[in-house]
Amino acid sequence: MTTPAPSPAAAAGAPGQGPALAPVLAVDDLHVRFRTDDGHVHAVNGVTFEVRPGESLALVGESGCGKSVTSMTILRLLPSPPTEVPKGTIRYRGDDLLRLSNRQMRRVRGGKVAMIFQDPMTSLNPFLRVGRQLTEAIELHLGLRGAAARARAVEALREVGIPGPETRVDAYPHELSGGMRQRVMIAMALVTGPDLLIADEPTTALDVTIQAQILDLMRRLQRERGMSMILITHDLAVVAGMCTRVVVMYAGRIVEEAPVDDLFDDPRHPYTLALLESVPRLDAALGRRLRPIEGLPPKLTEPPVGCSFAPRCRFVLDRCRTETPWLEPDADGRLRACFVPLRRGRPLAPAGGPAGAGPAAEGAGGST
Amino acid sequence: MSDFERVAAAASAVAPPLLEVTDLEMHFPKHEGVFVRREVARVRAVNGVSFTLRPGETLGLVGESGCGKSTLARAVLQLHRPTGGSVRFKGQELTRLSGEALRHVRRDLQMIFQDPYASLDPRWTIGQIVAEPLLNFGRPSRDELRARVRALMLTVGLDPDWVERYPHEFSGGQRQRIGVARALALEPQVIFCDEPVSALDVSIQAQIINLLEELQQRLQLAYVFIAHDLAVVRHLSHRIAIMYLGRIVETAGRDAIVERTRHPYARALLSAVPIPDPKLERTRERVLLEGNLPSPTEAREGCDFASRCPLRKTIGASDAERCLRERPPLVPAKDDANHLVACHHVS
Repeated sequence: MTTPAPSPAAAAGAPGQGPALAPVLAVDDLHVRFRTDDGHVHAVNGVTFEVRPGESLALVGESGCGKSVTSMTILRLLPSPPTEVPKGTIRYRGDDLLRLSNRQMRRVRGGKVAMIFQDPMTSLNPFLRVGRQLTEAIELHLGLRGAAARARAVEALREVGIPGPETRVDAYPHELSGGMRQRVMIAMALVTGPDLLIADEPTTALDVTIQAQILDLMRRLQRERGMSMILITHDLAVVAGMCTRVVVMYAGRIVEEAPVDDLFDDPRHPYTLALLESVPRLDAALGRRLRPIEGLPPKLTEPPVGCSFAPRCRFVLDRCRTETPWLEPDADGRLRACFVPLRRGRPLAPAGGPAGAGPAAEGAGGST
Repeated sequence: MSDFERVAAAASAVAPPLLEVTDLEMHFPKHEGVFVRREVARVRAVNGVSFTLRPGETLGLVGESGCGKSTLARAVLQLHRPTGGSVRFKGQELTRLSGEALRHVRRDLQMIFQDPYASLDPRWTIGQIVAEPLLNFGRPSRDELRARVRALMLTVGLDPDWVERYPHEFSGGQRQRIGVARALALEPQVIFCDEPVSALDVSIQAQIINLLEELQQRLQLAYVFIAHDLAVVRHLSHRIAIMYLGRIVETAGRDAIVERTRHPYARALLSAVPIPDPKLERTRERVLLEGNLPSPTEAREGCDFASRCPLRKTIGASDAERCLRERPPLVPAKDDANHLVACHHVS
């Protein structure tokens, strides 16, 4: 990973509302790009957010929005030749993770900050028994050896609800079902007692009843340990049941950040609104057509000019194509990166606002 | 019964079924031995499934991995030859057809697959892919073929000038449209959709769902829609069948099955589906299932769900014993003839 140029006091961004305790993690103006034969891919373009003690924060967005790249960059898991971090800081309890030595970073990674991934089979070593994979972390981070390490591994498996942990500790990953493997991965992540867990689509590959079990387990463990969590997902329904605060990403930028109830009640960014309108709900009275988002997300090979969502936005204004909206509080203090004042799915009537292209057609008769 | 269901029921009362599947069974033998191969087990993927499908209707098939929903589709289409039961399409028995006769029936029964990246040949142009079924069944002239391919591309919302392009030039959603155009080429009456939107991002997923709805209305297509996402299935289906271990455990109109769920497995499944509403999620009760799916190679006399059934704790010992001994048949509920459930203890 490249060492970024020191970026002095980039505290201009607007952090979340409320005084709160010192954040566990603070990401500030993070930029990540990949060098390719066709030039740079700008995967993350100025992302700022923080994770507070004991909270679960969702990073939500579709493929390619930069949510996983952000999380992988936090733990410095992306290989350095193609990946560059030209700008930004990632402070974990005050230390900038981007400036730690590899040796220091190894102590953080899997120690105080742990991560679980979508596909347990790619994270578990198929040649090693489950117990060995657990004791590796136990030896490295907790300094236990031999029988003590093994006993701790059994205990960790029991804690995540694996039946017969004394025997399963000797199983190979392929001998376990998908849900059990995901439990093993959670056990591995939590055995060192991290205070921040990053979960990247932890249940996407699982069946819905198994997903319910795993989410239930994560909720319980988080509460018991008072741990902070970043949940990375494309699934808004999962977010609704798991998180307290939500960061919505699109094309490498944050477009909205809000407490979970506010976001689902009254989204303030057109992309968030469009996402919520495009998914069918199990409980919804039907008959209505879904409202898809027309078009495709932008290519990230060019640094974006203006709002990245403008070409697909039904409320687009002229200035959206030339000026970049940054994440700022609106009149109610809600954070969104948009020039259109959105209330309950409609733009506010432009009260003597900028003339010219008013908010597009359908908002016309609408008031709050 | 909602208006929607009333309309569907009224429509189905007039039209004779297009497809009638009765007691369909698809077992795969498992062999072992190097020199003398002998059958050591049977994977009972589909175990006596019956359903009907009427013109213009969508039947949603849901269930978790390994419940047999995809195998069921393949057995109905005779892509696997069923080991038992019958499949009648417009009165004709498909399980006994072969060769040219079967090929001909397949014009009317098409399929759309989950992975739009894997189901299109990367070396063929879009025009060739969409034209292939037309060339398989007839000798259209060059001009006829061109016109037909262009019309099909317009139907699914693709620019007809893209015929010379290759699959890699398209996004996932556009590729799924190509798959739909190919399936429509022979003007089928039934399309089996096997997880057609599962690989797509949500904003794109809605585009394909709307396309399938439009096509159904315009062309009177009947769909068998297979998916694990119950919200999507409820949105698209008129009737829904929930499968567990190769059997249908409950089937009803799409609103009835969600709002008046009866089978204990169906209840657990539906309660596990997350809903994008944080206030609702905080108050919902979840039925968490214990254990895993039992092995599909075991033959059981009783209910397949008995080992994990949450009702086991509330019913008496003799009732619980009955579940292990006697398989509950799929029968209409007492108060709703259109709502079928396979359980001794609810109805």
